Amino acid sequence: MKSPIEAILFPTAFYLLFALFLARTIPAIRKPAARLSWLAAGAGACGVFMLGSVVPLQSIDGVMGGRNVSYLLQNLFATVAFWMLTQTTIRRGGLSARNWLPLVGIVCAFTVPFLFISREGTSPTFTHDRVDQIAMLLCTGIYLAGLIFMCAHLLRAIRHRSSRAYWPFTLGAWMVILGCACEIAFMTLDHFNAATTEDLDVGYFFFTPLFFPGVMFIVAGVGSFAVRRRIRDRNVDELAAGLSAILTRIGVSMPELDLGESTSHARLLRILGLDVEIRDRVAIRQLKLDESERVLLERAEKLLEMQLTVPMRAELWSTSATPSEPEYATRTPDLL
Amino acid sequence: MTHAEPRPPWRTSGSVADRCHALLEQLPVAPDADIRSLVAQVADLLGKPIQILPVGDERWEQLTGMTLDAGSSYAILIRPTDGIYYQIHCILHELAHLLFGHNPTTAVTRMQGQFPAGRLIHVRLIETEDAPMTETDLEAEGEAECLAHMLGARVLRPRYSEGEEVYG
Repeated sequence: MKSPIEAILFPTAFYLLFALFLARTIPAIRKPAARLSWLAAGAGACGVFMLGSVVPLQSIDGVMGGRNVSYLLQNLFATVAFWMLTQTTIRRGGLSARNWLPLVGIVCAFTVPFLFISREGTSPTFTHDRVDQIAMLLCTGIYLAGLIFMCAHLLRAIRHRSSRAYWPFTLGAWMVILGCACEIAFMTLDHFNAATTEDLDVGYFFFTPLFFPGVMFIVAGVGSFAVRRRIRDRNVDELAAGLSAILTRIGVSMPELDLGESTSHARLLRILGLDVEIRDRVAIRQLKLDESERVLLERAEKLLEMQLTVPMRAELWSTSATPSEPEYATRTPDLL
Repeated sequence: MTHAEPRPPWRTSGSVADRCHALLEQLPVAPDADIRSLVAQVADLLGKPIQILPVGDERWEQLTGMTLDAGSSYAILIRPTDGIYYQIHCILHELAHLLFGHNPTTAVTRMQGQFPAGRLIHVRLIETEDAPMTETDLEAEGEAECLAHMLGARVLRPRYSEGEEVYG
């Protein structure tokens, strides 16, 4: 019997992961670099499915003999999902066979104790029911410690990246870490009979509201990149049409240059090219902008500033390949 | 409102783009390069320090960037009043002149002597009817402009391209 919070969070997490998996199928086919995070969403969905989120647990586990093998599969899928997500974030899609060894190690480490658990009778509270067995404590402890390890790696990988884009990953990873740490701590107390039933009820309560929303934040973070790019592309197309119209008004067409590593990148560079072209025409007085055109140009420049990698103005101005101040730096007023 | 007959300020023929592609092939730009690392890379290549100085102002009008050779180093001068992207583009234009090793244009010869801090070697000065350029000048400016766009594509990437590549 699932608790009310589990009855909401399990299906929500499953449908979110499944929707992410489906939505990213075409990009993953097109881009090899996007495949690992796509597979991670699929593995995550399988993991949550094994909890009985959409099909009753009794039915799923019953097919496999009713001995809680679904729990092992859930651990396996969740570990693979977190591993793939972490690795694709760290290594940007490029993985060698050696990178998979820690995953194999973690999976083996929790599978071996699982085989020693006396696990008759499918139960949604399987881990808590059998926590008196050291094999159960080891199996769950190693599995959850593995997730903590991966989330810590994920946090390390994104620590210098834009918090504006990666905050859902940071928040989600911390929630997963806290949920897992809490579960390990209270299972250990439970195993050694070191806590009262009331304390354990409180302690065990924290896992689900921390872990699953944490996963959802990470899913939202992954999905946000595609959404953000689509919104940007739409704005860029609209601005490009407006800027081109300014040049067309004076009979100028911007030459097409084969630039950019992706269509989205090329679109941004097109805006940059149009911006430079317009600024040049204004400088030589071939073009005088009216108020609406000036506003459009400012919008384009603001978008470029927000969307392209660019140093701060002061950083650009201090760019120098020489450690010492050359003579002309102190004489710049003379240059004017 | 149009103040003069529009015409391409630079040469943009296919051969110009071909020469830029050829030069770029000999200048491997790191995937995570930015404008600062590119300036350092060009300085290394030329064996001379390069400094970026925001010194011009609206009085420069049609002059949007220039390069001075101060003997032991180069100085690229830009207008601090311009937008950051326009400034970066002007810097890339000047770097392109240095990479191509262009000779000073007619405009440079005309302006020589006005800059006591160094020898003026390149200016990003757009041709107008008042200040026409020779065919050679237009070709050189076209190359610099084209290469500036190509270099811009390498140092200006979508801010979240790292995530978009693997999650997008």
